[in-house]
Amino acid sequence: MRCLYLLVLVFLFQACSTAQFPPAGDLTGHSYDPELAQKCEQYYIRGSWQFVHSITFKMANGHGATVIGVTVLGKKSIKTALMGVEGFVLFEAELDAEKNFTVIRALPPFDNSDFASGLMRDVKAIFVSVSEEKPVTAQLDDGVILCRSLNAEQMSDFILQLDGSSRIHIYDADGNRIKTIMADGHTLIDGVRIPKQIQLGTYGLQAYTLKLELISAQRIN
Amino acid sequence: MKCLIATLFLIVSVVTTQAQGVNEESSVRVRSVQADFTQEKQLPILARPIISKGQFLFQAPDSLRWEYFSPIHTVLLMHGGHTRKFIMHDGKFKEEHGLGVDSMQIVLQEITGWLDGEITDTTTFQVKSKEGDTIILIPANEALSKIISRIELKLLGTSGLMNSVTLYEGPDSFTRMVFSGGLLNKKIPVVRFVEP
Repeated sequence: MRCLYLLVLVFLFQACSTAQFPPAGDLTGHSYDPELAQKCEQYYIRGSWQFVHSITFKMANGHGATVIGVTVLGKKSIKTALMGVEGFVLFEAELDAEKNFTVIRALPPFDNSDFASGLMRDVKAIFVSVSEEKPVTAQLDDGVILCRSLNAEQMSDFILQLDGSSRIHIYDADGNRIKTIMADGHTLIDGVRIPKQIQLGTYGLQAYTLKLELISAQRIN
Repeated sequence: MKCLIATLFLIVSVVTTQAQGVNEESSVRVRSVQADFTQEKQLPILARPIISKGQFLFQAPDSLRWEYFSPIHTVLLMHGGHTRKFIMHDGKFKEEHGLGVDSMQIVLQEITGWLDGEITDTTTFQVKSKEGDTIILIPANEALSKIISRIELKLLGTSGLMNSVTLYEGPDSFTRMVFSGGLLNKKIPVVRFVEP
């Protein structure tokens, strides 16, 4: 119970969980390369899908817990639910096509609007590209592909490594790295590469990690 | 988390109560219950339900093993007044701390109370209806009714075992556990309640 409250606090203080890290590469002189951009974009799954993950969260003090996470990606909507291993729903919310965010169910300590919005930010960071604008792209000296996207609030560096795994570093408007997402061990489902493991980490005193292990991925109509 | 744990034990209570209720009629005291189960989780946002499989063991007066084999291998153990939960990580069980153990013990009292008595109203649930093999329980207080709208029990004939337990969280959100291979009053080694 205590650790769940701490998790909520983590989300509440997420804005403080930043650290100074330099961006992955200097992209001065680079611009948009459609071929490289397409390789980065392949990470983001298109169409309608239902994902079920086991989610293990761990805080900097070592406390944590495991829950089942459901993510339903529609064409322009995201639905998410957290439930206990036993199936009891702790939290359920939806972000619709008009970007209206609705919390359908939230039990204490998840009944906090900051927690809800923080959770949806994490879900979006994992599944949705930061910007719909064309990214600046580059192939770095070590062969990895970098796609940098910007919007008014943040910058993200998507890094496609030679082994097919990917890293996403997200920075706030001041250039502080606030999140890193690592996706590894892909599997092919309906011809689409789905990561088997995803780890999201934040930085600072209130740092936490979310480790997602794929249970199932199904394309839906 | 307290709600989660409490709900789990309410399900357990219901399962054991189910067995007890039938035994009342046949004057057989429930000493143990064990069964496999398949759990179907349905939510409005789910295009397809989540299916879990596991096993349930209960030994009077207060020993319990509630194990899920999939999709996540977890074991909840209660024995001698202690409650522990383990989750399989990388092939090894790790104990998960910080659970609402006090809630577990409260609900455990419900279990033992039912085992010693009959299916009737308690401070937690009220029997809304009993028709044939189906019993409907509803929360006895408003706070709980915001979390659970009702519980539906289906007996397996007069065997003393349950066919299914369905816990409704809302009109389109439910958890249904269908039991199979049920055994009543078979000796269960103590180790099953103390080691994952």
